[in-house]
Amino acid sequence: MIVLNEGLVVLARSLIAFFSLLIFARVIGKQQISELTFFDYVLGITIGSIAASLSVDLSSRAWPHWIGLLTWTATVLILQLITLKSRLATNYLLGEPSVVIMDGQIMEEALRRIRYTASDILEQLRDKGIFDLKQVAFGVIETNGKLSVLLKPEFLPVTPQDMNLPTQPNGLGTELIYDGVIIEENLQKSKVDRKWLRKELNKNNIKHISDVFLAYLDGAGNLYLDLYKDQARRENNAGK
Amino acid sequence: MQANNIGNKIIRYMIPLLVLVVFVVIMQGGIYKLGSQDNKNKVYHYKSLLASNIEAEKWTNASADLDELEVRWNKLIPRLEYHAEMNAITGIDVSLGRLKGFIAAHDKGGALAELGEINKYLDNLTE
Repeated sequence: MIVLNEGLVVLARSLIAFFSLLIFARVIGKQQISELTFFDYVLGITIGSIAASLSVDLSSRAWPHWIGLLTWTATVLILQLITLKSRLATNYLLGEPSVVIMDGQIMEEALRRIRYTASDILEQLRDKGIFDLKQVAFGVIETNGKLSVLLKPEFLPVTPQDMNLPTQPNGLGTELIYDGVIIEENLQKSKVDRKWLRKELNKNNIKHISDVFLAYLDGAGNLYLDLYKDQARRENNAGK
Repeated sequence: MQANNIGNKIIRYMIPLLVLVVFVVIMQGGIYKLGSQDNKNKVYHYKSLLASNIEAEKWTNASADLDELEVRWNKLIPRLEYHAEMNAITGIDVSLGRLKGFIAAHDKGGALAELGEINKYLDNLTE
């Protein structure tokens, strides 16, 4: 009677599947998640399914499954490279955006071509807070199936620029303290130092850095503080 | 600074590459191929002894060879199972069981047929 270490074999194969998938997903890049077309969606399921077989299907060797995983990843990568280089190939392989609403009117022919119904369009409009089709100047179905909408000028929201209102510059914020620990690298990037940070904490009656869960400096120079004791949440203009 | 960046870049690319190479080695039977030759050779040795004893209808010797073959085969499994099909491994186990019956019944034809099946399985497993 033979004793098979099936559990150990599944463990080894699962680790191989997991890390191979992780490496391959990193190679494919972020495009998968941010621009999920129907094809990408099916692709994700297929690659996941191959990885699952690689992990637990002991009736066949791990190698052919792994080669399947590699082939699908390599093909996606090749297509990505082709679509990066050639606009023609992009249009052919991924399709083109379709204008489905023009000046408040639904383009029936375009809808038929992409097999969308009017209720699909209305649903997506409602999802964007638009309940009146007449407000839409242009509606475009992107290659990932999402509707992009340009409202007619009279229905566009007012911006500070329209009102000639002064605005504060914004930019990317930086975490200065996380989980009670100062992030020195971010202090340097934000051109502030420990002394300045201490002063700001003192202004807010915070004695110890270890009391701070998160200190965050936004692009306008506002220091946001979140303490472990949540009633002490406060915002302070640091005025860099 | 630049040398540091290049070093980081090499590590960033080399680690996943190295991990994939290790995976390929495991899946392609690296554990089996890099393992001790002793059990592998003994399995083939007792298999050919068994074949000659069955041919010569020396059933007592054949039975002893089969027992030895089973012991060696069981020692070989842990090295094989990481890259081989489980069905093939269990196939050999079933064939060994049937072979035992044919030897007990002194059935030369059946025993040789089982031995032929074991040969095919072994070729597939250890290639």
